[in-house]
Amino acid sequence: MDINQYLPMFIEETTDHLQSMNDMLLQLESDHSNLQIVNDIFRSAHTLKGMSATMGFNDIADLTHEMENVLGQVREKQLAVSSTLFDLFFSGLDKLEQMLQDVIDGGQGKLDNTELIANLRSLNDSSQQSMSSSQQDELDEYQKQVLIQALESNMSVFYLTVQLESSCQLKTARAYMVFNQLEKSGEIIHCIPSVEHIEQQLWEETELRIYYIGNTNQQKLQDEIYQISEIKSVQCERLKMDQLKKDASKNELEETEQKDKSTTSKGNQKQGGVAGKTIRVDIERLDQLMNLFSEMLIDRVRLQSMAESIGDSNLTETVDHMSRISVQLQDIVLKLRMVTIDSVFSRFPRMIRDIAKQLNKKVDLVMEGADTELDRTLVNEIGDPLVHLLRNAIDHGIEKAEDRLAKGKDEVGKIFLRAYHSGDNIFIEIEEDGAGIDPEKIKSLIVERGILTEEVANELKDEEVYPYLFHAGFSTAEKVTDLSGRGVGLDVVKSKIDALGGDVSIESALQKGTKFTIRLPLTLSIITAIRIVVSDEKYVLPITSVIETAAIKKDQVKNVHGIEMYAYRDMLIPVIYVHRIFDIVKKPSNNDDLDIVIIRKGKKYAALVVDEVLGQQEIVIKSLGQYLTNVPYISGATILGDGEVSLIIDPNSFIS
Amino acid sequence: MEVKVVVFALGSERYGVEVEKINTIERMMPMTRVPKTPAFVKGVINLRGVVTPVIDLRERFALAMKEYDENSRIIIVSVEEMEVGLIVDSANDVIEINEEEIEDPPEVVGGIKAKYLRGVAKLQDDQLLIMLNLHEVLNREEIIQLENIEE
Repeated sequence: MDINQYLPMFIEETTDHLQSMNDMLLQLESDHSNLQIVNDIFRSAHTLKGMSATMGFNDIADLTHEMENVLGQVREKQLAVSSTLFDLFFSGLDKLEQMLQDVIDGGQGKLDNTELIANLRSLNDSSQQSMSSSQQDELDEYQKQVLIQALESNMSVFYLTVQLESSCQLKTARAYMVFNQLEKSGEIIHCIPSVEHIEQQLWEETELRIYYIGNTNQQKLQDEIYQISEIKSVQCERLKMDQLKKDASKNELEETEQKDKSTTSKGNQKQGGVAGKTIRVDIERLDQLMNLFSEMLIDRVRLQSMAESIGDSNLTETVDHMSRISVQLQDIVLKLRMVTIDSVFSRFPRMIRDIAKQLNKKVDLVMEGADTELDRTLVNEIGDPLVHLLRNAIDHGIEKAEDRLAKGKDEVGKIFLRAYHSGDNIFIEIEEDGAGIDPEKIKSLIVERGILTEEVANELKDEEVYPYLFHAGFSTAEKVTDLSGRGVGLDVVKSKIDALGGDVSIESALQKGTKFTIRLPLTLSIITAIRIVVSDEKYVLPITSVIETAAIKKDQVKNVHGIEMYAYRDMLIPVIYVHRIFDIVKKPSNNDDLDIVIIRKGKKYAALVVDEVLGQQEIVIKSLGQYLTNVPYISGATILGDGEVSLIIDPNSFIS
Repeated sequence: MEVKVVVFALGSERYGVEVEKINTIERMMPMTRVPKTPAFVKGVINLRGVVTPVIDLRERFALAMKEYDENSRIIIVSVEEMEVGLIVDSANDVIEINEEEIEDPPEVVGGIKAKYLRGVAKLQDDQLLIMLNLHEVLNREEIIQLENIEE
């Protein structure tokens, strides 16, 4: 069989399975009792094993096989989850990723996993001994509450251990007789093994452990059960409130912790929920679709004008209908390229866990806005800078647990990762409550590196100091880690973000923490823009920076110290003639009116003088290509409904 | 080794660009002027949904200007991830030439500096085919320098 044709599919699916196993393992780590997750991980591992065996990647198959075995034991409650288990599994996933990378690079996915496999096996073998230790985990929260309530209403709660004769032939029948006997004078809350297991005869041992509420006493219970034949022994313990409460309160504590953590993985769960409803499409096909669609738009406009000139009502009706559909189609085609930032964020919880563990720090990652949509191409680019900043946040930002306690902080450091839209930008914030950065230390380093002279450096305000962390000369220095650490490679982060047309800023407060804010344009996405005409050229302006359009009289423009100004509301704002800046020859007109567009950047305003304002529409932002970069005043281009290219004016560049 | 070359004309000279560097050849189409760019950048076109810059090759080489007519073509080339259209007088031939027949260019050919040329090949009819060095023709640093001069 030629397997090569299946290779891309194998790689994609394996990547997916590894990611979801990572996510689910993290979830399980914060919620040990969730056996559903174990089941899901088991299934993923199983699929992976099957696929890789078929493809002939035996090392992958072998490792997943061992992992699957261990999971099987956990699923059957033969093995309790432990931190050793998580460590082994996470390193297993890393190995799998490594092997997958080898496959992607054209290799056979070979890797020596002997040690890991041996460890997994020994974990598996230990399962038999470790099972009795998990008594507190036998009851779930609901069952515990039921037992506590029973005690509160003066009922008796018993914990029964019933041993059947080892020679017993009809274990299931005997078990049922025990149940029947018990249910005559009370209620079985929980039984190990479970009733399903007993029914399906998946029941190897001869022991029944039962949590029971009844209006009876120990002696009577024991006697009743002994009346059933083939019973070897019955032990009956009367449970007291504090025994249950202790467990319950411990669990409550765990639960609140889990709640904290579960906010972090919310996005992932959502992803899992919709997984079945999505299909994969090659991004190139989407590009093709978009381009073909723009082509079709041109014909649509032609068709419309033809229909108008012909004047046949049937034709006009059909063309109108087609136009309406194409508007909807446009909307869908444009949105297809948008993906949620979750695809970047989802790998961070795992990464944070590993780094924190490695550095022996306690860190909680809180992610917000994982469903923020941005263009596919940005998603691919933004991952590395974020990894860098997050690593820095743990390594240099968050202090060690004992230092935090000494400072009166919570011993668990918090890192917030937020994404949100604002205007035509996407913001990503990374904020931690760590040590913060001392501006004085940066100043002395600025001087030391010869970036500024001492006098100039001392003049800097605190907030003016931080941008120097992104200075290339700053980062290459060897000793930078002595500072509260920032600086290593931050210039790389900055140049990457710059290349994407965004910027990154930093705020810090000593002992309180540091916040990085990344601003990214929504390039290649859709914005609403107004169309303007200057002489015979058409441009579009993003509506987010437009305050209003107006017609004013020429004599309302005042010359103030050689600058033309217009009194707008209670301020004087500069008047900018677009045709002058764009070197457009303007036809002379006797018109006394000026059409202006008031734009704003932050608190600064300006009035752009244009010839005509044509109204607004949704546009697709396209780049001018690699050949024309950094064209002043222009941020990109769009293709209008008639197929013509219109340039997008960058309003910010008019206000400086 | 044989190479396939698209032949196009600027004035009386014939020029060549390797076929694999050429995406398509288009007729003239509406262009949108991009302000604040050098004069040889004629604007951008909608090439099947992709906004593509177009330069006038005559102006790029500071040759005499000529009105566009029905023979004018836009040759879409792609070099180092850049897609750029080159306006030429006409383009109508694909020929094969032997790599070894391409000789180093003289200092100036047809008014074009040698650094924009890859070499010169003699064709069967004894005419010269001037092979362009697209890497230099589309050198972005040169655009930036020109911009600076204008300012």
